[in-house]
Amino acid sequence: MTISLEDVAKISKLSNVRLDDSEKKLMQTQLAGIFNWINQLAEIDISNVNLNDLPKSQMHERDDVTTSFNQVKEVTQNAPQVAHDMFAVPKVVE
Amino acid sequence: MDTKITLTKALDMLKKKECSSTELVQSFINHATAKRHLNCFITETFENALSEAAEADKRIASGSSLPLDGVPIANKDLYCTKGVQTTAGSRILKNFIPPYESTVSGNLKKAGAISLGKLNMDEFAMGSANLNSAYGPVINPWRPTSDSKKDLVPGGSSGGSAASVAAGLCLGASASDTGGSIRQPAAFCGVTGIKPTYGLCSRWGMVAFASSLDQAGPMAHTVSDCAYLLQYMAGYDEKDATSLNVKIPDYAANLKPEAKGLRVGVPKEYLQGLNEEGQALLQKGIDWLRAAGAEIVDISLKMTSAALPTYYIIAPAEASANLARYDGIRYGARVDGATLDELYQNTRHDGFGAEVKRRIMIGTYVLSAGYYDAYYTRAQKVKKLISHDFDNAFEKVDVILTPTTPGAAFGLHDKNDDPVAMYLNDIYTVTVNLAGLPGISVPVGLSGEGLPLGIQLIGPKLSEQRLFNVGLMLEQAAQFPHFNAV
Repeated sequence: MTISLEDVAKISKLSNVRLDDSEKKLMQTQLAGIFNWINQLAEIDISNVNLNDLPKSQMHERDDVTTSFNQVKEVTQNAPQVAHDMFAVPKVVE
Repeated sequence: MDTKITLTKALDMLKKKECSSTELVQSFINHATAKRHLNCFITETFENALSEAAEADKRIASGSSLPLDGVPIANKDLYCTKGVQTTAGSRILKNFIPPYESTVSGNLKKAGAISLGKLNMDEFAMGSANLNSAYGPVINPWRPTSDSKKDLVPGGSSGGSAASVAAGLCLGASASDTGGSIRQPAAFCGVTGIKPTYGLCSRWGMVAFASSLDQAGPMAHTVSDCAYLLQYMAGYDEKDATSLNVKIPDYAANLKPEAKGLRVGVPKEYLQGLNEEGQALLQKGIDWLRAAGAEIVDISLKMTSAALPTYYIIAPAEASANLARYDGIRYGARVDGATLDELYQNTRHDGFGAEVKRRIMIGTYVLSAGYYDAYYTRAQKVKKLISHDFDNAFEKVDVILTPTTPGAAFGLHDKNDDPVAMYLNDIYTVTVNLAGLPGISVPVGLSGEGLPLGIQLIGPKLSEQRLFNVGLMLEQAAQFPHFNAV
């Protein structure tokens, strides 16, 4: 299976993980090897498998009730940059 | 005092006042300090442990002890522990101090267990050798007889959990298993480990890797020890929508060796490619079970060879979504950039290790436009076929017996640049995660190099008691030297 450097660059952008040129080349080789191995799944007959069957168990939902209040300090305490009790980010609006 | 004891024995000693929790905890702290070179701990909480031991002693003296009161354990650094650094083995979470406690570590605390600290692990639970931690590798306390200086891997991703128990640094450890990360290191380190039925333990506060596969579980020297720990780790949690609303049995009280009349399946696909040593080990397991009155049944799990490639589509896909939250904004490491996008990309470039980046890339690729059906949808369908395999097998048998790993622990410095070769370590364990079933690894023998070998039992959903009972029967038959590496 071929994975091009353009594929690697595109996936790197989609996943928001910057890769240097040398990392891109290594990733290209490694991903090609991994996908060559994964592609054996193409041989399996899945024609009779229905993913739309109802699941045997249902996920339960909790009541729509607020259970925690006034946790600004806890929520922001690990943030690298905080301003005015909010997470600080680089400017995004011109 | 000696740390060559089991958790079960320690509980008995505390109950009979043969030792205090303070003495016990101090002994394990001394031992853990002496064995720092194994690099089992990312964060030590020894001072806090001694305070908790003093409190435990007061409760024990007054007759109001908690079920696991005074017993020193440790938690995999995947569990958020309030006020204590939690890194998931990653640089991107260095100095992250959770403002909340995970349900599983909280359950152990409520039961009176005393945490000595946070255990080293493969980054974000991605790995099978504990070589992917940003905090350095863990060293297996076992050594090969041919070279007593050779460092071996403990397995992964719960390498710190397995090695710390095996080395006698704690009496039990919380761990997690997404593709084999409890069972495989348990086998490599000669300890017992169980991955329960999906949903038995809450995932709330557990750093997420692959949400449909992740499951918490205990590691300890013996089956009885694991039974005690699982009983208190498990339980319904309304904060986890996938948590099973079932009563947790008293596993320890109901523990008895079981095999008579049991139908034990041995899947032929698990024997293909298994080396002589593995075959001999499996045969020993078969012989012990037969001698104890079990019926051995040949079964076929025909989708076995598809399990690993299926796992390496589904798990990375879910990981790519779960790890999207590490953006340098709300917690963790941050590397600035000229724009917000650059900040994200730089932070994640610097913060994630190579294996994590690889899996994020795989996951993003298989979920991307044009590839989603060919990969992700297909993998979900094959996952269903794998489940059906087990459903069909459990109509004929009560439990399935397999090796846990293809072989014993390998060298820390053994060179292998092929990611797929590392992935193949989980060949016997991933099927269980894909089907959501419980699986236990029990140490039952030693390799030609004197290294531990484990045997795996797989059961239907919610059959943990049966796995413990059959596991106990195998443990008693095997007489494994649990404390050789302490």
